[in-house]
Amino acid sequence: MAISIKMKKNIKKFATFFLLIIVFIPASFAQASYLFDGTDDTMTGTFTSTYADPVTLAAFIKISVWATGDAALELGNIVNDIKSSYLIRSGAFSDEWSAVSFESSLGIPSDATYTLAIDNTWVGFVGKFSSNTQRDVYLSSLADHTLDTTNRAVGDVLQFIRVGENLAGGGDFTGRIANVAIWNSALSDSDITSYMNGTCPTSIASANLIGYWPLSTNNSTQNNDGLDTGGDLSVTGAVYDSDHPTITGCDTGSIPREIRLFAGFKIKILNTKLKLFAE
Amino acid sequence: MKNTKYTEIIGGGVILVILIVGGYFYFSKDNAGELVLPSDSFLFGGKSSSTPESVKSSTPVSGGGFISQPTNVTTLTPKKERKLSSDQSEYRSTKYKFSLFYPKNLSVQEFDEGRGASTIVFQNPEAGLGFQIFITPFSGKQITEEKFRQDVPSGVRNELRNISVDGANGASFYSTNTFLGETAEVWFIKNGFLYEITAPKSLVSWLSTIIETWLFI
Repeated sequence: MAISIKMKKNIKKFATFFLLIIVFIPASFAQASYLFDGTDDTMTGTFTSTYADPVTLAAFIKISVWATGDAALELGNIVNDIKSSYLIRSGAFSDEWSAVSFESSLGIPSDATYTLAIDNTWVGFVGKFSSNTQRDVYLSSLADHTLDTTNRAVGDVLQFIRVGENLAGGGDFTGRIANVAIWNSALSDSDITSYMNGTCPTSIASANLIGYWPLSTNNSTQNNDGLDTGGDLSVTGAVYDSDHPTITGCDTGSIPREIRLFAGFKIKILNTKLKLFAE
Repeated sequence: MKNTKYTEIIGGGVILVILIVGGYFYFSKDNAGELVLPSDSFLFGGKSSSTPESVKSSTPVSGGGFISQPTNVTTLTPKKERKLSSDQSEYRSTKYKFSLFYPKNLSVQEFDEGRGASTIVFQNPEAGLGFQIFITPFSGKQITEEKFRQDVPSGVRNELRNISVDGANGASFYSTNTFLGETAEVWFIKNGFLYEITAPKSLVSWLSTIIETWLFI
């Protein structure tokens, strides 16, 4: 009987301790990614508003083996068509990565390309499309960068988003994608460095962050946490995965509010009028 | 008989003078004095007072900013000629990208809450006037129930109304706070920030006229 009481006390202590752990675990930003198998896995969405250049497309990617033409992220003028769009994808030659502008009428591409082996490592992949005559690609860091200035006229009603595939349904990506973002501005060098270093996109040029998809929830719809009121992504085939890049600062919205108004006073309401008395 | 008539005339005159003088003092009290405020406003639920030109009630909100979705939205945009009057000052924040006009008799204090958040307090305790603005980085388009409960532990959200302040979608509602008692709240999201404006409920009409001057810069 005595043992039984002691056991009960221990169970109670353990339960209390366990409960305290649960209560005081700080809320944190869960991180994850989506795995694309290279055969029709994709995420599609449409912004409510339309946008024009300059735009910046960014995603974190992790691949096992480089393959040609794998599309990470595309923003275009025409649904289900690569004509008149901006795309970041792997290039034509081994370990090559590209920021591509497709012109409006025939979809003729021109790309800035950079060659870097990135197998089995999470890296930031950024395409900056400043105008019809300037596109930049960045991989892993600001230094790993190339510029292309060929004239490609891209329309100015950018609206349609595709992740893990191009807008025509080809270029299926093999590997993981996370932390996808689109700005309707050309990011500065320091902003691109911040992104590459894992700063949460909500803290980078936030007034122009039209689309942000952390890809951190296991859900068939990935909500757009950016400024555009639409842009939620519908997931087809891609699989939620616990592997992820390290992204910091995405949980800043959790700061609780303090009431500081009339601090140090006692409040009374007399006949609908507010009266304050010093404490 | 004659005296009675004179007495009636003089008495009536005195009452009239009392009414005129009393009425003058009652209606001419300024913000620093004993201002009696109605308990409702165009920005909030309940009986509506007169609606200024800059306020329009219209169609259901699209991409609204709050947890649940009331059907109508009250749109509040700054007046075309946003001119500072002699009894107003301008508060301008380049960090949080907004400007508003507030009564000159209020003092302003800013509190850095860390991680990009701030509280700005406008108050005149002697006059019983004041409101605060809490601003925090916010990545979502909608305020979640979790965030609401974090900032409003009472969980009270009465007469919820969708609003739009200079193009920013959000909501107004009445709530309660252990210190302030009944409160009027205006919350909206813009440029990656969540703005929470709070005042005692008794000041709701006064607060609305200040929010009417809000401009994103």
